[in-house]
Amino acid sequence: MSKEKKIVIVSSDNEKFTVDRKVAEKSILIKNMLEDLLSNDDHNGDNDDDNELLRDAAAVDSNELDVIEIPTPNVRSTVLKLIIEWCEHYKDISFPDENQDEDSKKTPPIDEWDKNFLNVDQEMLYEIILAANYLNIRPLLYSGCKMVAEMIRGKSPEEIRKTFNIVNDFSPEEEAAIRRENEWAEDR
Amino acid sequence: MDRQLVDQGLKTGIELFKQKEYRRCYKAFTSTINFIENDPDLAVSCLSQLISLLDCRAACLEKLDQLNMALKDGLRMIKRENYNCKGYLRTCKILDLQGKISEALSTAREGISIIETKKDQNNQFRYSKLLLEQLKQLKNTLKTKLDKKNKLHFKVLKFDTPVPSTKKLRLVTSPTIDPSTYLPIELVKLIFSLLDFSDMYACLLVSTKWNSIISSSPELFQNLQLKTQLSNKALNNCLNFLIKTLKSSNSKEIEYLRLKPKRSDEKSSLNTLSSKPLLINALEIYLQNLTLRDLLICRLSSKNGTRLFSNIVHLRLSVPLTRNYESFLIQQFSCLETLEYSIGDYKRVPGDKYLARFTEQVELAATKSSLKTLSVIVLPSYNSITKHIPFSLAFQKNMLSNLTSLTLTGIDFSPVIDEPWLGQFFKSLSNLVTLNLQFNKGMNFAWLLRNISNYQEVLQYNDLINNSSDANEPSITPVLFHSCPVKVLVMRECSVPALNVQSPTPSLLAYDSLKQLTHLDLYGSSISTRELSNLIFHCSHTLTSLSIGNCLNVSFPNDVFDSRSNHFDVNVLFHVPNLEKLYFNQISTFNDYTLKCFGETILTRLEQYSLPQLRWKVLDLSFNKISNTGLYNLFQVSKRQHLRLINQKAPKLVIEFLIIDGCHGTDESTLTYLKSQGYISKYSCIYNKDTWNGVTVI
Repeated sequence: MSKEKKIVIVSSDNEKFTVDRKVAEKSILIKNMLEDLLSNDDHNGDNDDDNELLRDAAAVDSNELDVIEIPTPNVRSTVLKLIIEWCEHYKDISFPDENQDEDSKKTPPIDEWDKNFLNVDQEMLYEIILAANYLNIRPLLYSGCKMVAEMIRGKSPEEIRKTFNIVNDFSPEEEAAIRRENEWAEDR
Repeated sequence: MDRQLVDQGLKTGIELFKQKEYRRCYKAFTSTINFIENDPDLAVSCLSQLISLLDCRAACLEKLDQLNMALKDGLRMIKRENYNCKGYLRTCKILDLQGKISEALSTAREGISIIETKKDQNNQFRYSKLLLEQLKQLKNTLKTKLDKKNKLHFKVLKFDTPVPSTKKLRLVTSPTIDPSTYLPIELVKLIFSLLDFSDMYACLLVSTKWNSIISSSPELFQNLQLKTQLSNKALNNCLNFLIKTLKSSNSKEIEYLRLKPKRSDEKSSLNTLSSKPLLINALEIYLQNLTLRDLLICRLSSKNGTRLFSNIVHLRLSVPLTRNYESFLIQQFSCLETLEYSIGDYKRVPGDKYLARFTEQVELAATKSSLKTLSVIVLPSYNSITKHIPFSLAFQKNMLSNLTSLTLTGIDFSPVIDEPWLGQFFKSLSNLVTLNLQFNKGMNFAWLLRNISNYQEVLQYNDLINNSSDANEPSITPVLFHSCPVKVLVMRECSVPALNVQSPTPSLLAYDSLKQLTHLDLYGSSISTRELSNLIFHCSHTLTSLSIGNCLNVSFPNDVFDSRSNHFDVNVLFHVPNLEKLYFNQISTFNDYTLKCFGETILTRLEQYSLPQLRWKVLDLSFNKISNTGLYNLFQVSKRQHLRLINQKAPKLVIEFLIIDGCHGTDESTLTYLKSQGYISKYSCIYNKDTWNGVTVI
């Protein structure tokens, strides 16, 4: 009974990743899911303990239960692989207030390892952010968003447009009006 | 009539395609396409047929291996009908065949985004779900393919030396995408919320989409760190913008505003701020010209000002020093919970005359303030000029009994240290959790111990009970000593005379008021070894962090021949089960021998309790006269090796973060070794540092 259950996370394109529970639980979504699933199991376990015969009979079933498949229909295998790599790296670190909504501004600057890890192309970065949001991995979500914020920080509007391939769709009059109204922030 | 012809052409072509007669098939499609395109009316009415024809011709050209021509057809399809999946599917497929994966990917992405937008805008928009799914799938396959290709590319590059800068590589391979088209709006807002206020301006100008997201998100403007030297006009514009933005959420509240106005605009800026219909929760304001008095007058003079200022909960204020107005501040800002007051500069104001006039308008009532956190920072030089103790009126009038956190720094208490009101004030702080006293003249540890505790009151209670002979009198249930909940105590003294004549040890009851301490920082205080041991014993169950660097009256065992017993005994630390952080820095009596004693005691104790290890999060030994040998002895490296050889258990001391900055007798190779053996997980050894920066408090 004490045998560690195997968690298999399935990507949208049906690739399967087997991970330790500890790794999978970096995702609060999966953690909550597992807690629900396994607490039901424990109940069964208690009943089984009363009757050894019954337990033997259930052995086949529980063997099947040892593998828990979790589908992530929104996450492609290439992205999921990276997400799992991240979770592996942080498996022994518990983040403070993982469940709580803390003030985002007080979060520390982006971790050096994360910075390297997230040094991917923009689309991959966005996909990681989306996946982290879906799987509820707050520290990764914040690291990802901070990476994007870093791309914006300290830049002029033109530089930002270049960074993200955005077309300036203001008319000159509109632009001038915004500049006039927002004099407070200029010449930093 | 013509339509039938077109349908006929399409049919024949498909038949020929099935028979693999690609050349003839191509001709059939081409003639039909030309037929349609030569007639503008027909081109409109037979648009879907035209798309199908182009699609088929492209397929045909693919078979004939004429990829460039096929691509043209694909692109024509997109041009004709940019919301039709077919065109994108075809174009992507051909680009993929040509090996232009990243182009194919961006085409697919463009297609999906156009169709999705159209779908969102127009309910009537008809599209094939199936085809859109196909396109999405194709995009994902392309993406995976591109990732793999990039990785391969990297691998190849890794073998080729020198490796070109990855930046260049990224420019070539990675497309750039507007996050606001890719991510849902709440995540875009999350990204914006991580930016500084000053970056918002640039973002407002990027595109209409960004502009509308930002100006409809008042939550982004809750933390306003306005740039320094802001002119009054700019402040006015900024506040107007905010009011406009906040309107969308029907709110007038701003969480945080930092204002450092231009020196010449201070007065007008204050007036501007107080004239706007805004409510500010936390205000941080730096004034160089105006004084506290001006601020108070501004608060009193306008209606909006009254509302604005009396709703501020947190106030951080840096103003020139003027005497005696601080206590009015507490009274006038009636919602205030946190006040951080630092004196920016000394300004000689003809104090008494103005104060008299001021007190005519406002009377300082001895009302209890709601203030929870008070922190006062005075640069000692200003204090020596004025000999003024900020908030002394409030202290005397007992206005601050709700305080949970008190920080006093750099104040000269020596003229008033024996005045009863000061002691009374400290005794009245029954809710205090954090007490932070640094570099205050005239205040030392013994004084604090005498005054923070309520043991005198306890004695009085006892007297009362003994004297009351009448048993029928309503019995006073003496609250013996209400457990004073101070959890964080920082006491750093201004100057400690060496070999202080020690005051008589206070009664042990005095320590009871500190029995819930978790964080004790006595860096550079006059506490003696005995007092320290007593104190640690009393708060042993809760203590997690201990800093006793630079305490001249605390001595450590540092010589084999020195048998005096009044040294700090490391055994004491075994009474502190939750200890995590230890700061033993800059101690004149701390050396290798001390470390050896520590190491031996710890090992013996661990063996005694048969514990496998002792783990501390931080051990700071910086600026001590210690060497590599000392470190080896601290961890008992050789003894443990020996124990392990004879198959005995060897308990281990593990330090997660060891700090030995400025310890010139050590070198990094020792630390690397200790790390490799698992004794430490992280270390800091900055040798060229010449001063100790201090422990960050709390």
